[in-house]
Amino acid sequence: MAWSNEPGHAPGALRQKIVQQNKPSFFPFTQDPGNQRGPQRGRRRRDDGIVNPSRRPMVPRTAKMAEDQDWPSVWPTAATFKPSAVPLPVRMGFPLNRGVQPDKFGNNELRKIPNFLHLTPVAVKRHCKVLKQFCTDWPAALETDEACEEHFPLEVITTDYVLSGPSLRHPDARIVTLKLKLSRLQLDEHARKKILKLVGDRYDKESDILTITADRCPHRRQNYDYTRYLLTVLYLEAWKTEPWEAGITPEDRDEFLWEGSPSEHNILSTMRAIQQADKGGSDTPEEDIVQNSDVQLYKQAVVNQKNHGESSEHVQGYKDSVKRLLGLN
Amino acid sequence: MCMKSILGKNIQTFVINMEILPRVHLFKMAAPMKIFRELRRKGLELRHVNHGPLPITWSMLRRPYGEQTVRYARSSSAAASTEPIVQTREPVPQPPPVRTIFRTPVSNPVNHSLEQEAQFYTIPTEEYRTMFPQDHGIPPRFKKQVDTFTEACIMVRKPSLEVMSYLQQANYSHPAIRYVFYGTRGTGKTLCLCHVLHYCTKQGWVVLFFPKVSNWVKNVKEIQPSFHNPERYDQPLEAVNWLKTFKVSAADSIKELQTQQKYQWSKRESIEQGRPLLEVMEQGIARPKTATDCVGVIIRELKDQANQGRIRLLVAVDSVNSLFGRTVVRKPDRSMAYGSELSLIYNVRKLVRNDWRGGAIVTAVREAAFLGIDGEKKDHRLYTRHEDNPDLYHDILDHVSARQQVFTPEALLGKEGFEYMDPYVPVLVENYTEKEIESCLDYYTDRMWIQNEKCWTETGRQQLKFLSGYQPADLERICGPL
Repeated sequence: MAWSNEPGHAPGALRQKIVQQNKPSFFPFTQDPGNQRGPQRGRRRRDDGIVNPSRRPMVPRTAKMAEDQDWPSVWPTAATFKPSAVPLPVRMGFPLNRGVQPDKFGNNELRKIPNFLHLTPVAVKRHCKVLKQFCTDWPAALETDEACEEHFPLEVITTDYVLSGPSLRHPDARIVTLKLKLSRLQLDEHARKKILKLVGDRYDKESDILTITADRCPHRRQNYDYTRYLLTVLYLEAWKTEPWEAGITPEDRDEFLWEGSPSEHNILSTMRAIQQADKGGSDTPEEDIVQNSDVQLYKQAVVNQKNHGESSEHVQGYKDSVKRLLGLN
Repeated sequence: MCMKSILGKNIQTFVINMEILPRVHLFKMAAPMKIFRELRRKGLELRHVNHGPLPITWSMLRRPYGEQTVRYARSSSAAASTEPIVQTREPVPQPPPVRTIFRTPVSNPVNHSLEQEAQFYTIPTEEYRTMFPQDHGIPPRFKKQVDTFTEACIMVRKPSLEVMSYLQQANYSHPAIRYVFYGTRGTGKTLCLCHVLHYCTKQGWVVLFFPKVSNWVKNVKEIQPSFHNPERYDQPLEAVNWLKTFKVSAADSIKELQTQQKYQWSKRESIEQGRPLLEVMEQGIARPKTATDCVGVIIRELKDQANQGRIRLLVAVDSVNSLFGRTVVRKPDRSMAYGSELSLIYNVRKLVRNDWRGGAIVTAVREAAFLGIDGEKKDHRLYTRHEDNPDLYHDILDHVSARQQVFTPEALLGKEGFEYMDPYVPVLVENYTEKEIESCLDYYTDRMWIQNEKCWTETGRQQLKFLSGYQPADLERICGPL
């Protein structure tokens, strides 16, 4: 008895005409008087119950359903909820008068919402089975995700909406998101820094992914074109070097650059003085001093300390490099 | 008064016997706070603290000494006055024999090596008086200790030994090397600096010691526009003070030195070439108006002489980070002066550069000297404490809050300071090691600084170690009332 959770008669219906309960019936089911929406007032209404017991409604279909029936053929397509066809004790709605939630019979709430009763796993499988003959094989070269990323670096994300309404168009369907790993673009040091400044927070440092979203045009195609356009422009702008870029100061930079910094100046003068004291005169060009392995080590230590903070190992690294440079041990 | 609690699964009973801290309420607010903080770190909440049957209250402490249950040996004179029957008291207990060798007879730091590590050496009184006339430049609490013990003992520690070994092997025809002591608050940076200073003094170097440059930037008494450069400001009082101390400490080492050029102080006053440097000093002391310029002249002369190889010069600057960045000095036009606008600071900055040879620059950085980065809005009180008398605000900040201490050299020097000082050799001064704290406790016991018998036991020592967290300054403070 799939739907037997409905009681013989609803509680609290005091003024209702009493249906004889003791009388043995052919069907073991007693008819529900309908949703009890509170005590009856005024004129008798249609939902109040059955006036004439002989005018019983038909027994619902679910009572006769076999347990191993083929459900996709019972509910083949999308349809409004129909209580007599669904052998499930569903309830929905707001319980009134401290009662329980209304059951499925005559329940408008259940009719309002969309259901997926036609999309059971069995039904989906059958659909796929039929559709398979129209599909082509998956490309052999794109077995893994890495291979997909390798061959298709550009990821375009759009969303399709299926809805039943006066219009098939959904306003959000126009939004286009374009994702790209920045390492896949061909950029030099300057261009990379510039594109990072240009894109701002659209770049995710952890995953190295640049995300461009466009929703300003009314159609998807237009938005897609616009994202492509933005990407092109960003790339081309990044490669340009404008005249005002020559005035960049160390404060503008995100990270410390040793070349041209006072630290480099200090080390050059110190090394010069040391060489002068050792040999009497020093004409070593700047490049030779900078290329010295000790100086390179020192440079790395300073850059680490400046860019990654002064943790104990960075200070230790700085100390070691300075000691090597100055000949202490 | 005792606190008991049971920790976690493996049932340990943790007891802090407050009898070893009998005057804890007389003590700074920070002490109980510190205890509670340590307890909380161990996973104990304050509600677990079970105050014993006899809490020490103010009223108890105000009772006459004779009635008190806890007896303080150091207040024996007061006790004797109220309680004349001396015979009833038990004899004064003698401290137990110390377990480690905590003291070394080698008083010359030139001979110090790793053998003497974690042992105390005594600076001979004469040398102490000359090196630190009027006790300038040593930490105030250490000064009190020196007065009490009537001897100046410094522990031979690894950082100072390290710098001394560098000083030995450095090539003095090369530019002067800068060493920076750094470490968290109260780890003994200044005392390490003093140790190195003593080492150089014993070797016959000329020592230019600038103690607590932060006082020149933060606790400024008065300023006046410079005589020869209206952009800069002199600090006559500070300059005279420094000249006085320098005159005592360097009298021997610079008595043969002479000026190398003529200096014109004003229209009428001048010093000819070839006059002794001491004359410059006396001129500065006698005429405070020119004192700041005298400091500049001495710095310049000594730098020159070191460059020519006549002398070895040690420049010791405590809290070197206050040379860079802003100050709390207001100029006459109500704007704040920058560090390099004060002539004293300007001159010391020239010394910290490595454009001279024949010497070394040993410095220490510290957070209390840090005035914050220019243009950055911060809690100003954090950085403007008067270092000798830290107030309650800072005690609580230091002990209770989990404020991250800035102590690394680059962060404290700031951008400008790093550009100026780089390359330097950072030397970390850390908390006591197990060996060092044992030695220190032995020293305090030997000096009868710790008189409570309970502190002589193993448990008492462990509690002291725990309470201080192996930090030298805190250990000294906690042992104070014992």
